[in-house]
Amino acid sequence: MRVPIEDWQFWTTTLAAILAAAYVARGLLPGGILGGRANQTRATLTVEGKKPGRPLAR
Amino acid sequence: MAQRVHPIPSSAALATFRHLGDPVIESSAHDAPIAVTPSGPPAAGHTPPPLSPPRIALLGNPNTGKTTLFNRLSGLRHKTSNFPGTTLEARLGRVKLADAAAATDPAGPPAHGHVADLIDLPGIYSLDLDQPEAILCRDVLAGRARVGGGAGGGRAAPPEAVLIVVDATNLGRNLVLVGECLREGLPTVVALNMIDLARRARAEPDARALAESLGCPVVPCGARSGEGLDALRHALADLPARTEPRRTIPDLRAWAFEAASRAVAGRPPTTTTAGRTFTDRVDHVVTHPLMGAVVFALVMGGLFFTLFKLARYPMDAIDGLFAGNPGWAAAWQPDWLAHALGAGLTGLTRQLLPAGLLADFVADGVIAGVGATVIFLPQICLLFFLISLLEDTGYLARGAFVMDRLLRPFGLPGHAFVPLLSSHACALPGIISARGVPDARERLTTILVAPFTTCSARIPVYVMLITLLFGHRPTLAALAFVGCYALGILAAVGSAALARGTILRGRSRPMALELPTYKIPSLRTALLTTWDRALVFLRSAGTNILAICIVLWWLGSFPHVAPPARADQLRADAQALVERSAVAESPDAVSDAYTLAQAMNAEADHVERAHAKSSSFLGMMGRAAQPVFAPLGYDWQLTIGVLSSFAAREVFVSTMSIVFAGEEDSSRDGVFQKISAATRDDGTTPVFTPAVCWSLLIYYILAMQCLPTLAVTAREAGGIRWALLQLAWMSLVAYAAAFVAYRLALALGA
Repeated sequence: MRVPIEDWQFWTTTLAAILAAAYVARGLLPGGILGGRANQTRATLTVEGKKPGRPLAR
Repeated sequence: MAQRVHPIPSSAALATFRHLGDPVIESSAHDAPIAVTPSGPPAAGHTPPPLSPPRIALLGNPNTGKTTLFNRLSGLRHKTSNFPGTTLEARLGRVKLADAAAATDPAGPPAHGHVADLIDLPGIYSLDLDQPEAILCRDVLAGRARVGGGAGGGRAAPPEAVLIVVDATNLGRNLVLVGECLREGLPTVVALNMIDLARRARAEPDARALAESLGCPVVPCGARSGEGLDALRHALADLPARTEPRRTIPDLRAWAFEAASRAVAGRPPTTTTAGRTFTDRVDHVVTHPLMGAVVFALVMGGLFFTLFKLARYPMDAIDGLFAGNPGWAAAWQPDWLAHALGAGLTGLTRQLLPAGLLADFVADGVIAGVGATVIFLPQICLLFFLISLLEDTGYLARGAFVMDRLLRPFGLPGHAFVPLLSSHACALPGIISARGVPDARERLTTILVAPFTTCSARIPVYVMLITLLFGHRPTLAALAFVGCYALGILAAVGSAALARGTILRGRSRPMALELPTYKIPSLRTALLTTWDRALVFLRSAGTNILAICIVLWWLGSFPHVAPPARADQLRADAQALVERSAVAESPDAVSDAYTLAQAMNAEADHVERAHAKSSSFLGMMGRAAQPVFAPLGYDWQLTIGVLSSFAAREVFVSTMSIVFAGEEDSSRDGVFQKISAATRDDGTTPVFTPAVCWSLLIYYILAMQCLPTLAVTAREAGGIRWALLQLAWMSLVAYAAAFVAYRLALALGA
């Protein structure tokens, strides 16, 4: 049982796999870690950074 | 003819114009003179060009064509439909105003004052309602809301004006919202939309009389046809000033109907027109308790029949592109193309790249992984195309009405029909469209149970398992397929009933849904919707699913292990056979020996790959988790499939094809044959016994197995706890049902 560390192609594919794993994890982790989704800017409506959901204060 | 109408800025009317919504306006507006000014200079009291583009909030009742108008004015193409509540979030678009072309240097950016930012808002009947859409609109108008991204850059400020879209065929109800804006002192322009429909119904309102009554500009237009849009751009370029809210209209409803009556005075009332009569006649059938259900079943049956009948051809073509040419495609292709695509993109990659890890990575990790998902693109496109056409006709709202009777006993409203229907393509848009369910508890219930319905990602798993179960019995296979859908729906409504009786207990809100007029569906709208959905799906396949496939490939490819003794023995035997045949005299004997040696080498390759897979990191994980799934009949190889498809269930098929079929297989039939012949570690017990197939089928019908759905649930339901509850409940139900199915099948001798 061995890992082909002498093969540059192994390192290329390993780097791609790490990046892919980070991308998948990014969607699961809270904002701030690996640039999680919570930090993404979306074209949706927010009120002081939060989704509206309270009655109007007149 | 489209025209812009507003009161002349005479001294009395000017005061009116400055104080839109003020008591003075309404009392003086009746005798204010009217002018038709397609493009007049700004009147005194109008807002000077601001430093940044003015913001105009687009308001209106549901299904009045706001988003269609928004798309027309801004050049964007957000989803529109003939179904109330299609717009579920605020969106920003920049609009070129009437004189922008003349005043702006074509080479430079448009000057402020000649463009405006239009905020498309969800449809509401009143600003005073305690519904999320109304709260959003109130917050936007009060300047407490921020529209992130887009042209506005996330600025939070009250809009400079309000453009209210009203349905010209239903003025009385639409003007209530206009009255509310006027009462708040908001500078208001009214777009009298669907004027073409009103004209056809011989009920065209008098825009002059209406402008006089309201005391604000009224522009007749048709957002679909583009009629009156130039006049509307002029009206928006000439915005009235903001005024202080100082009065309330005492009886808004009476005021609205009085204004509407004045506008349509002398014209026949809309309820007696031919169009209404036709709508009423059709509605009598399609909303009838019995006939409505029959029509609904026929429409849905036709939709799914068309879906599965037509999607097969492009799916075969995409399959051929990735995995190798199907026979029918090779028949009409020139030889060079058939040769190039003979083994699909996977084979082409192996031809172009030198043999090695990188070639395996690209061919098996990237192309094969993405290809196994992209193959379902035609089904998703066709489903959304057909749903969009149905929405546009106006039938979908009737379908929701019919479904309300069926869903109500389970604690779900008819509004839940559209989210549940959309979830049959993909749970993500289904959950998002649950925003249209007005009641909070019912909305949450809909979100929680929507993933039980059969989405497109489950279809490849169903196809694989049903083919293994009923490969040569198409009628039974079709029944099993229908059964999968039925079980998903039953699980959804059953779970809804349970949730509504326990954690989401509460009184059901009666369904109030405006039935839109019937229209000829817009092909353009359907195609744009389909295009948008296709992009979303491809983006997912090109990002999340691609990333998962890459990780899976790496975990399944390392560490390397020495070939097993059996593979070495097979290769040695093959070599010896070839050497012995070299001294044989008969050419037939030589040929037979070579054929046999080839088969032995192929078997050796297969044994070596299976051993490598079993010893890989993925194999280790499968063996570690196997005891959990052993009661369901799964060995370590199937456990790998279940684990790898936790993030996206469609990955199960590609994982199985990698685990059982080997990398060099490219034809789908070959993959199916090898999967059905796959054995456990003992080399004799089949992996896919009928009992295991039933267990897997039930598991995949009911299990969550979709990470993006959990993320969207957490966002839409307002917390990760709901997503975790959804995951736990669906996993529990799936595990228990699969266990029962497995044991039952064993007991019946399957």
